[in-house]
Amino acid sequence: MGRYLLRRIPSVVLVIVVASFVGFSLPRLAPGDPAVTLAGPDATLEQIEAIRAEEGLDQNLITQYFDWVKDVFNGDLGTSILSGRPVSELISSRVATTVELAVVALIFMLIIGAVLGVIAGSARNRYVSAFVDSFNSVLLGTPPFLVGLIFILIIGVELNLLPFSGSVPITEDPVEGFRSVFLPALALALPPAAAIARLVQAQMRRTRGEQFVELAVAKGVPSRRISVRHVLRNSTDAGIVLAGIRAGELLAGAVVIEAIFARNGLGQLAVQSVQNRDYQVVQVIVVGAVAVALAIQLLTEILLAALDPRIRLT
Amino acid sequence: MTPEIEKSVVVDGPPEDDADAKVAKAPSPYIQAFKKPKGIVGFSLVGTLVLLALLSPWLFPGGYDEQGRDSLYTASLDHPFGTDQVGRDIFVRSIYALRTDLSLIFVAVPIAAVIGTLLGLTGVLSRRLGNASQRIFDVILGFPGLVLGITIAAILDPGWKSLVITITILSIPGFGRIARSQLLSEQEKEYVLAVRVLGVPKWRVLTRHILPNVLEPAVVQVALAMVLGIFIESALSLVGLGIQPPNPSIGTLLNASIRFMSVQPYYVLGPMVTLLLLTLGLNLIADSLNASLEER
Amino acid sequence: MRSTKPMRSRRGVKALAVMCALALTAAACSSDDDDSSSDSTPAEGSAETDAPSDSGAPAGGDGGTLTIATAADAQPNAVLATRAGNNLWRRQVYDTLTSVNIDTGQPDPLLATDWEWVEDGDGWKMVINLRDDVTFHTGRDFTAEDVIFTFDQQVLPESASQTAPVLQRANSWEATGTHEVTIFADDPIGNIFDAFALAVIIDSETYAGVADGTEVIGTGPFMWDSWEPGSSLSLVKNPNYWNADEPKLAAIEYVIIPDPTALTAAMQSDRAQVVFDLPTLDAQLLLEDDKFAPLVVPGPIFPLGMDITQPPFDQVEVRQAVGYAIDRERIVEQVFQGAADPSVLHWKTSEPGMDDSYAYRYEYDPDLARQMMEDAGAVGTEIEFTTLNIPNVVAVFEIVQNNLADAGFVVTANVLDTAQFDELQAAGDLGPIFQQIHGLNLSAASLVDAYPALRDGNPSQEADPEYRQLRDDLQAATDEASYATALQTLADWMLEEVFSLSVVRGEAINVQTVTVNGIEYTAEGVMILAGASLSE
Repeated sequence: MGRYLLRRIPSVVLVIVVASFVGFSLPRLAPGDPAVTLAGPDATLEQIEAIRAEEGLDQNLITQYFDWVKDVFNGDLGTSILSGRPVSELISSRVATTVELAVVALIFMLIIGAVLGVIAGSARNRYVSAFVDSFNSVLLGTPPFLVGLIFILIIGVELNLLPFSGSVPITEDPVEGFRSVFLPALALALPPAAAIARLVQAQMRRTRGEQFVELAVAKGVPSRRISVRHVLRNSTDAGIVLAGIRAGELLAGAVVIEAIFARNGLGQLAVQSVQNRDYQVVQVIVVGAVAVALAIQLLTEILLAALDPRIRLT
Repeated sequence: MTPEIEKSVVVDGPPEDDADAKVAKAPSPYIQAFKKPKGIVGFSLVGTLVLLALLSPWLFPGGYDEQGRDSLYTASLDHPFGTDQVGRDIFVRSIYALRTDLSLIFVAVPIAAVIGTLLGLTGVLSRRLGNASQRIFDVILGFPGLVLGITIAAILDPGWKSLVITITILSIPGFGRIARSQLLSEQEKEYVLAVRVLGVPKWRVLTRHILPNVLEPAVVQVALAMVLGIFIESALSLVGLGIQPPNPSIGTLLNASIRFMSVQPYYVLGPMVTLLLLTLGLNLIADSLNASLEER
Repeated sequence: MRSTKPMRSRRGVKALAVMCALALTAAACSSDDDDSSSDSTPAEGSAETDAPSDSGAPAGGDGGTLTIATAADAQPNAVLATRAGNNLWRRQVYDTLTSVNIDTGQPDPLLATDWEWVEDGDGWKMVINLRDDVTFHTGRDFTAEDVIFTFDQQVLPESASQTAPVLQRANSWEATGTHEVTIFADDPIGNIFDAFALAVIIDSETYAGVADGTEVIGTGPFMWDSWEPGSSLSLVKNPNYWNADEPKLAAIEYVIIPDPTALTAAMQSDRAQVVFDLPTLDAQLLLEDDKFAPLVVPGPIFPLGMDITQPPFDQVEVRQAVGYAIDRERIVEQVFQGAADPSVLHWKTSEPGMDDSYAYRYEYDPDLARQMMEDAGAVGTEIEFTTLNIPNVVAVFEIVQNNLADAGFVVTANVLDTAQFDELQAAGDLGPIFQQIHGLNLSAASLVDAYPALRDGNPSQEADPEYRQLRDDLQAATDEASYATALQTLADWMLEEVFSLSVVRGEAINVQTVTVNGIEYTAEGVMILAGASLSE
């Protein structure tokens, strides 16, 4: 595996460099700059110019880029022009919230997806099967934020069962923390869970027809047990790949979910920073996101290879 | 090598699993998909919606911006889905919203399909190019989608144009990966190596063997990418940087219906039904295509 | 042949992998919380015992902690300007020389005890006497030099203060005594109290630490404790405040919540006792419950401007037609649920000399509008209508563009991203017709030079010397009677020329729990909590 990682390094580096370049230049293509936001909506041109000069925003772009890269290598992620705070501080205070949401959603997604898939796949009754199938289709066709909003309305507002605003870190208060992350994580997890359920269901159908199953049935093993055991094993590969892809989407979906459930996470920070042209923050978030996506990808491949001897890390 | 062998190996390609061209010509999987129950439902749904959207200027000549004083009314004979916050008919708005979203995805996704597939197939020219395009996909995949959408909206002014570009960019990796993975798996196969040894030009290998294998999953991906495109449009409209008023889109209607949920809970029905029908239809099409491709 | 691994250990590996992943993330989470993130989102707080954990504030009993929920974050880099996010805490941490009373419209003494304009040779001077018992939070005595420093800072363009133009009409200012300041000007500046309202007295020794919120020192009833940008702001009681009766609260906590539903939820769960600037719909919903009471303060105006150099808006009849074309009642009803005033004035109707005949001079008359358009030959003109991407403004915009279309225009909607719009607005370049939003709530004399829609270089390209003259006359008026006359003359002229007219004036609806008492506001809508307290 060490050799594999070593071989991946050049491409990883390339991706991160490209991401840094895009993250740096793309926001600067947009009209306006942080001076406009800093100066306020009633500012005069003179005031904006003065602030621009004060913040050093009129320097050569190439120099700015390399200065930033140099700083990052020295561990300095930059300073938010808008709040004057270090970017690392802004991010670290929110990353826990987002990670928490993503992890819980991931767990929900796997469990619900597997359960739904097993139910759908092992159901003998055609109607049950069709019902779960349509349920899956509907779930797949609904954006997570819509699911989230419906949850807020029904469970949060009408039934008042669970909180739906703000966030409490699980490490600080496990019970309250879990309660406050439950609805958003569920909303985020359901649509991809449907995708996983599909996969499991299809695998179960396929497995039923395979020879070793028939052999086991002939031996007297109950067919339900066969299906679940063998399926769960054989679908691990595709499942992991799917989970890996979906995990990446989870982070993207987390942004919108955070907005709806008023969780103070990275997503909100990202959106605000782009709208306020807080370049330093946006750059770091972009590169960070790409790096995380890459890491998930690598992890998926390693996991796959570890679990399935047919797959070799190339 | 006799001309007969050459013909059977090079021109005809390796025997496929279901012995094409020899015994009974197996029906095209696309037609098969049409005949499955899922396919029938899916295609009819999408077909009806497309038709409605296309005919909307004739069906509802008043347009999507007929405002009035009767705002947030519940469903009635005049207004099957009620009226919105400035008195417009929600049913009419939903149809026009469909029109907007369909125009978005029917432009963005095919373009993404072409660009993505081409990029994914660059591996056929050189290994390095192939790796490079894989890196491009990695960057796009890792890039926070909402951030990309908001940035492009800021650069190009929010609206249809910026949305098309955002959706296209975000859909490219999906197609690119499919093309590339098919390319990689086909390239490894023995018959390809054999054929290359014989001196068959690369492009012939490409068009004859690889492209058909790419097309199938790509077509499925088109349907899925369209669904994703609608989600992207909705998410961006949620932050106000999608389609701009007074033009309706599924996202803007959903957004408005949520804002007025406490006053008129039925407002959400119009856009939600439209959204569900469209995504359901597309997903069903994808499913039936998948199924018939697998059967082959 | 490769050997297959036995079944058990493969499953074990999977389980192990999952557990490792969880453990890693759990470790990451907890190490993050070691920093400061745990302070940012308190669990469901309540009024009594929630003192911030990292200050010396007394827990329980003494005054309690008031929690305010708001969507707007503090912007300490602009303390000398009006910002939505600063109106909540500015007067808690800082004092001003005077405070314009929301009921009387007259300035009340605060750090200044009395003041007087007297003639000084060819010109005038304003002699201001200051309190001598005031100290900054660092313990340093407050003197006239601090006022001079504040004024000097306020007129710097970097401070982006909206009332800099008001102060700049003076020639100079001096500390003429330890507790006496004199301002020299050619004529008395009637609206100087607007400048004072934004001139929060800052501490020259620590001003460098204000912009990023690390050290914010004032003379006010509360002290700046800690700030998590985008998350929360904590203030604690100033035990050495010059007013012995104030403050009553032990601490104030501001929580930043951008989403209206979440704001409502914060109130309902008693996480906050006051919510600031809630959209009308959500506020009305909240107020159905008896335990909440409303606090209504003047809100923003929505000016519709036209470029008088671009056809068809170079014809005054067309501009007036636009005035009649707008269905203000429908906007009040459908966008603001009744919480707005369909006034065309850029200032409050309570200004001296103003009444309904000015405020409602343009009534909705679509037929008249259409007729005027036809007479002017403007029917069918294509226009690009520009606005910015703020939800309320877009909602107003949506109805206005519909009205314009009914009047005979062919409208192309052009909604811009906020930063881009603001930059164009500052440059005075917004196209032929545009929908803005302004919210300063100062006196008319200050607004005409502070509002982007009205000041020199405005996007309507209104540069008529007469306009400048009328504004100068207004600003020169020192007594109410002459002020009223000057304002009426200006208003008549502006309503005739109508290069910019307000569509509606909104209301800002704050909601408080009935257990909170004593919240007050200045005339500009800035919250004063010195006298606020919580009943059990």
